[in-house]
Amino acid sequence: MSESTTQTNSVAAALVSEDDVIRVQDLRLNFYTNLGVVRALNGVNFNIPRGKVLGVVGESGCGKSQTGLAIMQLTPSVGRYEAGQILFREFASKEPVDILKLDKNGPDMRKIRGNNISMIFQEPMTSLNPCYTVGAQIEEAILLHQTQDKTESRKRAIDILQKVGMPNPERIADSFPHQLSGGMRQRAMIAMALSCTPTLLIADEPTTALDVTTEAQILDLMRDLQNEIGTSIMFITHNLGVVAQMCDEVVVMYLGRVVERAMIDDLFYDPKHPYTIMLLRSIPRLGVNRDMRLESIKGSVPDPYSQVNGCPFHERCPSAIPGVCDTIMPDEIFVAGSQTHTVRCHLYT
Amino acid sequence: MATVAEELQRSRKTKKVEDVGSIPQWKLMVRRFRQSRLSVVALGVLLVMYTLMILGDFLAPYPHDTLDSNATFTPPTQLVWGPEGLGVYGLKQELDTEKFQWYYTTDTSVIYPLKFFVPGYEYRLFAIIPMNVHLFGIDTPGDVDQKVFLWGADKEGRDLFSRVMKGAQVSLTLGFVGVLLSVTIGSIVGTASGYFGGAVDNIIQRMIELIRSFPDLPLYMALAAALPLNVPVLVRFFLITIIIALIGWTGLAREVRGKVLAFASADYTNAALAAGASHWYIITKHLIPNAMSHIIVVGMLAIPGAIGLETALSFLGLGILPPAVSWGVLLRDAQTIQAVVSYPWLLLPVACLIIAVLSFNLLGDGVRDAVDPYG
Amino acid sequence: MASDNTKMLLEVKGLKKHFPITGGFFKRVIGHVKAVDGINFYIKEGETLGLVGESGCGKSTTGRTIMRLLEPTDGEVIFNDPNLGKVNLASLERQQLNKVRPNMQIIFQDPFSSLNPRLTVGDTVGEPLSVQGVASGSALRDRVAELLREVGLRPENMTRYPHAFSGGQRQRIGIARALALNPKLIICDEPVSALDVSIQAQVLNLLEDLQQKFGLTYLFIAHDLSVVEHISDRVAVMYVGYIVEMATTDELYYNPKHPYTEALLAAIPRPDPRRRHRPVKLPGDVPSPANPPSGCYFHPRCRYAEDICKNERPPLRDIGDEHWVACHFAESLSLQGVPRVSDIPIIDVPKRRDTAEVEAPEI
Repeated sequence: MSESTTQTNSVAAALVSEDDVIRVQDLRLNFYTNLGVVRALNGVNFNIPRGKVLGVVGESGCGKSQTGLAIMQLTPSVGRYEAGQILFREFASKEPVDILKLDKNGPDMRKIRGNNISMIFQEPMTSLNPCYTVGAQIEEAILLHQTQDKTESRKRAIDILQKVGMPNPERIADSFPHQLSGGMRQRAMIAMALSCTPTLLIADEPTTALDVTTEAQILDLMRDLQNEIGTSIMFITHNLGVVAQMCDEVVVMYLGRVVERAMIDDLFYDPKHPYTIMLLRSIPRLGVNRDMRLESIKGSVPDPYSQVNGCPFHERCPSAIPGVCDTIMPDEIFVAGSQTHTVRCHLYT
Repeated sequence: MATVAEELQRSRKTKKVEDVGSIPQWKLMVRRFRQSRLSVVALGVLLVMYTLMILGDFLAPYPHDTLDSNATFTPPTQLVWGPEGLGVYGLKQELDTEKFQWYYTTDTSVIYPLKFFVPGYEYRLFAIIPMNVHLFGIDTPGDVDQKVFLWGADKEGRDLFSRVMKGAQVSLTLGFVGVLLSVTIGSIVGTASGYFGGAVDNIIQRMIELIRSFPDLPLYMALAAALPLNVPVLVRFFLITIIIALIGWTGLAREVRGKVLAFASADYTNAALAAGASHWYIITKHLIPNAMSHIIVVGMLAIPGAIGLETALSFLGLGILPPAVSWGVLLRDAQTIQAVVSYPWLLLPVACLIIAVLSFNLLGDGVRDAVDPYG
Repeated sequence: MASDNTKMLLEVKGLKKHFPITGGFFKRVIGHVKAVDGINFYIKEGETLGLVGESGCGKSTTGRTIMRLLEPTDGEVIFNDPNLGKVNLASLERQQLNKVRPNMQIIFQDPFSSLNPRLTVGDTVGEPLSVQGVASGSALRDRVAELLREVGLRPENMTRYPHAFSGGQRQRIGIARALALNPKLIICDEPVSALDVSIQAQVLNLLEDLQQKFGLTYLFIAHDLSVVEHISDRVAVMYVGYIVEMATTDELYYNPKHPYTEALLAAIPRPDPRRRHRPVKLPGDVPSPANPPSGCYFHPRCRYAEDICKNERPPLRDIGDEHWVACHFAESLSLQGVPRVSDIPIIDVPKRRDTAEVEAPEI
């Protein structure tokens, strides 16, 4: 195991550019529950380049949400980090800090949370307080991190609501969350998250609960804001369509590991890992594979309490090599001839 | 198609590790319950208490209502180790003429031996088997009137231990039976209300609101005061049970209604409807079994309240009436400051009550967590 | 309605389902949520009709009202029962209805609430059989085993409880239950929405296989337009309780005639980074079915709306080739559909060694 870890780290080290907002290295997270140990993250490596949108894709239970929560230090209390670090660098000129070394509830972490890194969730209602108006909640964040002036904070709150495409920002600022539709709430959430112009925005399935027309508009909005403000985004989703529309780079996760990492175009036009390929073949595509049978990945994701030997995907993989894939954990390696595309699969060694 | 049985057979044989999938849900609940230590301890305590209660007459050395003017306020008897094993010293009653109080001096020269399985007053074990054997008693020469008061004696010289045993039979069963009754009423009414909805639901809910809008204590007092006084103890016991149930069911009916509403709109109920199932089938197959665990939890958490209620009524002189005895009746004797200062053993029934109520609460909590770990 | 040689299995005419809104102490009715507001459509035997729309448009209510899990407010649901002939489900007595029910079954969205946690898989799948008194004892057990095999589960799972299964497996159990009585029509109410991508494909393939094998007819309710395109022969689009367009899948996706359909299609995020597009701007929100706008419900958000749209509600009419549209300007608008693409590479799964794999049985 130690051998593979060093190897992985060297690949990871070769990949990172000088200016990454976040650098996650060998992150391992276990949950100790009554029913057993859940190995949520088993050595996750990736980096988020400044000003880019990184997509994190995978099925439920692959650890994509836990990775997002780890960066915010919002991991549930039954979780324990076994190894790894999360380096956060606010400016290119600033020394990176290891988020995991900070006190979870200490002033440093609180400053990072909300001011430097914000997060939006799938269900906006869970993160909006029903007792306060939308405006008041945005102002609160601004007052906490940016300015002390109340009229100034109000002005900024209305500005940001305008920016996220609210038709009547003054009226919306005075509304309570329950008075808004799902799409409007998600816009309010985004407004709140962006109110302090964070360095990094973590978006955990922000459009999954929305209808397709609303989803398209929220994605459009996030794209525009990203161009305008230059915030880096970590976009967690299971929807490959959303990834293709939104992201610059993609990380594919399976069972708590990154199995493939590539620039967006490479991922869709030259995927390497059998899991990525099968995923792409299993989605129905408009105007493409109507009369074709969908590829399906046999079986289902192993239950979280079990431990799989070798490559975690080998049981479902059509190209698994007997005697190799089921015993040896593949290392993360560069695809031949590429400086950005890595894959964790024995087929390419 | 005969292969099905074979396949099942085979799969059973080859199965070495336990298959969690084939464990019914209630067994999983039992497992989860076992994980909360405190609740398991509480269950143990309650089992002990109920066992002692059932064996009450056998354990009690004297009838609960035997007056003995020579033993007024006897403190708990001290057990000593004598030549014939356990025994008690002789006691002498004297009058403190200044304070006008009885006090007792021990006569350490004599030790009356404690005997086990001695004959005593007649009773029926489990209310069926006629017996006169008691667990213990002391052997005294014919002319000496000496008793063993493990927990002391009250103003009338009655053995407190025997009275607590007897009182437990009322207090521990009355709460239990009362809740059982209100759970039955509440489940039936709640299921009807939740499943049929509409006008039925509306009427039932308004009725519950009406009942609940009465202030509790005056209502209990009024109902209890309306009970006939000159009825046998057993009849009065049941009448009080019914009073507890009549008002207690409303809260339960609401809980059950809420659960039934949720289960009735679950898709498995819809699937059964789509298959053409009758209302009766859906209620008995889908709604009740799913609601049952919640009914048990709510019932369990209601028992301490019911026990407390009986105690309160008896304490106020509206429940069980002397000479019959319950823990509430015993508490009446301990209500003066004089009792607390001079005769603290009269507070022992309070300790029993607290232990019982606390155990029921802990047990209820444990069961609730086991049934609904996320609730 | 339609004039085709194929047998009509289900015809829905003017179906309405209004939910009363009550208020005040006496629960007086103060309004109605018009969840389904006079819809017409038909399904021919052996085909799959996709019913799409955004949340709250009444598509699930439509399915449940057809099944009579909800009582219809108005309208007719003509079902062509193989034994009883044409019957109007909307007005059948309970007893008669129970005779028709074996021929139409339903599959639900939520794989968790659709199985009773207290019943074993065998009891759940066998429930329709025992309720209808079709089979009992060992005959019932054999039939359940057969059904489980049919949906790709091992028969010994019969004695296990739902908590032992993953979402996809639970959905298979729900499908087995729906198949138990050999129905003609199965209403699939968002059957894959709650599943992971890879599992979604398994269930879609299973539904297609079963349709072929048993000659099933599906009403496939979903909000995912890509899934609907994949599985449907014809598609109907709903907006605020009303069907605005219905056509064969190719027609509807490549040649939409209703502005709402156009907006929906444009909004689908395509899994192709080389074709990034901006959605059609749809101002405002979906109106509340309790208080819909006048005329065409879509007019406040429609960029082609004119005065007539505010006042007159367009009926659903056939503009040729079974293309039904509810728009005043269906013939004159030229709307954008999905671009036909053929240059997306379908990448093969790499095979390095000869791994003549035998499809392992599903768990």
